[in-house]
Amino acid sequence: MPFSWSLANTLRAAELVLLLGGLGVWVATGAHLGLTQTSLVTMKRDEVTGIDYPERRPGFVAGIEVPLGTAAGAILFALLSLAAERRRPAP
Amino acid sequence: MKTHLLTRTSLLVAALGLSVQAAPLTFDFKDPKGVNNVQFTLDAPLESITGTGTGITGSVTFDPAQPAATKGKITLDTKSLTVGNPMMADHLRGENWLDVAKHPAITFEAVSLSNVRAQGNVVTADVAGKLTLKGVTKDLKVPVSFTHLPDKLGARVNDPKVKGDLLVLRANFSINRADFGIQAGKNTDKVAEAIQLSLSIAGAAPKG
Repeated sequence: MPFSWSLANTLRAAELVLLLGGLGVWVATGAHLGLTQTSLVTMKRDEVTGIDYPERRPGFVAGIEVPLGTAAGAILFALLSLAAERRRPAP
Repeated sequence: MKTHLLTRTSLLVAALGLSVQAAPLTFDFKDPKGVNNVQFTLDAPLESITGTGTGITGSVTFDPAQPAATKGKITLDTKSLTVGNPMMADHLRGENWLDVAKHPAITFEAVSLSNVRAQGNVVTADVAGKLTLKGVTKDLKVPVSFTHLPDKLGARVNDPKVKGDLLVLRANFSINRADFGIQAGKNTDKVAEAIQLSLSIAGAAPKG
């Protein structure tokens, strides 16, 4: 049987990529439950005074809105793929 | 008679020496190294917010021989307050929250010290003072530790020719944002009412 790549299949693939991509980025950057951080703090110690002080540098930690947003996108793609499947003419 | 005079002179010199040593020192908390900082945490059910502030200035008059007489005022530039999320940082500084355009400083002025305890070069005390935040002034008592580091200014500025002392202040305390009219009772699921503050600052008193 020849393989036929339909719009519905494309949408399903995009849905999977989006879902796994969002979840993967979130887990890979530490599964942070708060909002996305675009700067990170490293604590350092001043040797003379003994003061611990934060040093801020650019960085990225995906927040909870990343997997939630991509999951919402995946649901949208799933609905679109269902709609595309229904509109597909019968063979 | 001669011995008596010598004894008197020695006593006078010793007393003068003591009075010079015991003179209160004024420490300037302007920080060229960018080490002085305040860290804040708001732990709400849906969001834990942590941030930092580094724009700290002020002065404290501290007498190692009489720490209970300590006076001073510390100011934090509200524009220096930041968090890791840029949108949240904008909200924090915005009109609804800290309104840094109208209220550029948070100040704490020490009025009196109680429960003063000294151990070596470290003095701990409860400092009663007035905290002004977003235009609202409240009386507050804060546990503070003062660490006096004599002759350490040269080491701090990497110049042994510079003489002077350092005073390190550390304080951990909490305030309630509602007490200062900051969105009282609003968004408590994401922005906690209680703000935990951790202050670590060093001031310098140059000599000569």
